[in-house]
Amino acid sequence: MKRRVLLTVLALFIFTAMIVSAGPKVTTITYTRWAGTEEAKDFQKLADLFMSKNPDIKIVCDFLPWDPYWNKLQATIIGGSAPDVLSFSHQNSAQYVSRGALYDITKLPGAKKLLDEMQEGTKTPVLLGNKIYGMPVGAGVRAMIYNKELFDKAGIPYPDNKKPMTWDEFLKIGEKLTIKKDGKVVQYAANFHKLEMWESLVVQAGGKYIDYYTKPTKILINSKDGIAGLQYLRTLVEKQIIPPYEDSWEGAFGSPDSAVVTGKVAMMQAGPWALSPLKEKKMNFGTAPLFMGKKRANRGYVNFLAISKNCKNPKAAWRFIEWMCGEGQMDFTKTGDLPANKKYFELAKKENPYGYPAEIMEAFFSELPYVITGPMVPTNDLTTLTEQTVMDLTTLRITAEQGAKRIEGQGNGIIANIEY
Amino acid sequence: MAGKGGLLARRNRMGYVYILPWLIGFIAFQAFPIIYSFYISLHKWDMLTKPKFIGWVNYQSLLTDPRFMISIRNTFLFMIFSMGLGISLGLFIAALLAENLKGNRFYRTVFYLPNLVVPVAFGMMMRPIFGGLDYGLINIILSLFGFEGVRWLDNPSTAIWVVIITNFWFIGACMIIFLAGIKSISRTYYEAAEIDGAGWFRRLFHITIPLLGPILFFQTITGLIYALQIFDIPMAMANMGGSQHTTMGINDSLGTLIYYLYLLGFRNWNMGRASAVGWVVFGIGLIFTTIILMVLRKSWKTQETN
Repeated sequence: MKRRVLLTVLALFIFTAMIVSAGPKVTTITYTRWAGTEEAKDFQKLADLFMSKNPDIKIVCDFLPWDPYWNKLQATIIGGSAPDVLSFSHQNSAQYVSRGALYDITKLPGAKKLLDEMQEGTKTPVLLGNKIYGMPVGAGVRAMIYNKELFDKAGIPYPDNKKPMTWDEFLKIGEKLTIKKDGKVVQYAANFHKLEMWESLVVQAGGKYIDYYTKPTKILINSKDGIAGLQYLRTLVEKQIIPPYEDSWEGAFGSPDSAVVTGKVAMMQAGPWALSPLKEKKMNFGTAPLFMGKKRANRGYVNFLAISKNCKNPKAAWRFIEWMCGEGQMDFTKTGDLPANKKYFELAKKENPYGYPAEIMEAFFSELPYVITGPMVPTNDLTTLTEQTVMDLTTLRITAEQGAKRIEGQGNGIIANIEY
Repeated sequence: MAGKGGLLARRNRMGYVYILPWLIGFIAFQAFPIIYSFYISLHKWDMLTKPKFIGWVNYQSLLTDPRFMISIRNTFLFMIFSMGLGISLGLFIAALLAENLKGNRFYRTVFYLPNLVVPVAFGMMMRPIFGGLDYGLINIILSLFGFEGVRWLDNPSTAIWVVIITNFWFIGACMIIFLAGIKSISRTYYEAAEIDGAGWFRRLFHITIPLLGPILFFQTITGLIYALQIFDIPMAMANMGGSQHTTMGINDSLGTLIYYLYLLGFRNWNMGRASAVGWVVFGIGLIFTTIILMVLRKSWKTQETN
């Protein structure tokens, strides 16, 4: 009798264990992205939210600061040990897209449809021919962020948060906002990310840097309008409205993303990601669209998610991407990027989930249709050339004409040698 | 005879077994990459697609590459001044500290202490010192005396000197080796020289330096290799803005051969050309080591004859 009871208990135990172990199968995928310590917490929350809604998928996250992220990504992709879901900023992606390092998601269910839902300007970096290699998740857009107290001190009315200033208007207020003491600048009117601003200005002037962003054939900057754009940037440095290149990133005037926080710079061109330090410091700040020339243009970023070529569970990875670029967009946008998905972009405009007043966010939303991304070519030689030229231009070592001529001359040579 | 030969062969075999772990490591992590890098230097390779054979093109293109020329110029300047002055000053300080002066131990510690700091940290520390016109410490001091500020780091003719000056902080490592060498020289030589009336400088040039020959050789060769590989300090000085820049400071003012190799390989995806730069560095190192070896051997022979 005792033996029979014992056997029954044992059988029940084995049966229960089998049921428990035969529960839903969990697929683990790895996800990587650049993020600072605080940002990493937000992205982890996003992954947790996805997992709570999709219990059959476990996301293992690896967040790294900007520079180490790209170094590790390069090493792991080359070594064939990259995480499953990879994050890209468009300017660091061309090599991977064009050299076949990413999984072709064209045939994954719903990929084409989802891409159709994205903002037009965000699609270029993920397309190569008729194949899709990633899905735009967010757009990094910069607007003007200004310190109201410094405007008040100078007796200048705040910029309109809907209508962009013209170049002339910006020059006028810029000259008033820069303050010098004993011949030295103690307060700059603005600090910009010059290595990107130049292209916005060339397009704003009515010019063009290059004929096509993908597979370009010709540099077009050496035109009257192209030179006018470069000249405007040079004028801003010449009139000491913005610091020269060397002083843009450190010292008393902070960096383009933190300049206003120093209290010594009246305006900066930055994205929503730069607002939180201002809030923490309880600064009285406002936002406005970037100034405009003949037309509006603003160099921004497209961030996208992709699946690595060696991914063993592309379907599970795709479900995560699909969620991030669809349903999860309202939560994703809180991390600083604007939603790449048109539907959620409109929803974000309406619901404003950012924790800042709607009039602060308005300037960023208004910039998105004017975002330009720059060329997507599998070489950094073109970037090196433009960086060197803009550094020389914004340290007043060369004229705008010389800069345009240099970019055209050497740039055409670089383009001619690109192998696709 | 056969027995002896067998024992020798067995001993040799055992010897090889003992060095096998090192040998495997050397072949896998040094010899193979070195040979493979030469193979790659003859190819166009972006690390994602198959290497394409292009012969000597990578080497030829370096001859007309202005960025390579700046890098080689800066590396040579760094090599000559950092190694030359570093060894001379290191030896001089070591000779001073070898004397029984008050506070010797304190000074030894003080001179050696900067070696505990990572060079990258030093590079970053030097930015605000030699940095912009308005906030750089050196420029502020210059302005107190009525001099115009200089953009030290952004000018190709001054930037490398900042790297050379920064490197003097690491003179302690050189000093400590010389000091150990001087301490191992028998005191009887000095005592005899002192009795004969030789002063400090005479003792330094006629006893210390000649007897430090092998150490001097070691320091020169390691100094040369270190100088050829200088990378971290200029990179820390040039890297502004937390962004992945593709230049080595404004106008590549802080370019060195290894910095350029890194940019070519890991930023520009041009591993073939980067490998070619690596082999140029190896060639330069080999030529200079041979020259130094020949000069020192000649000088040792002369000393022996004397």
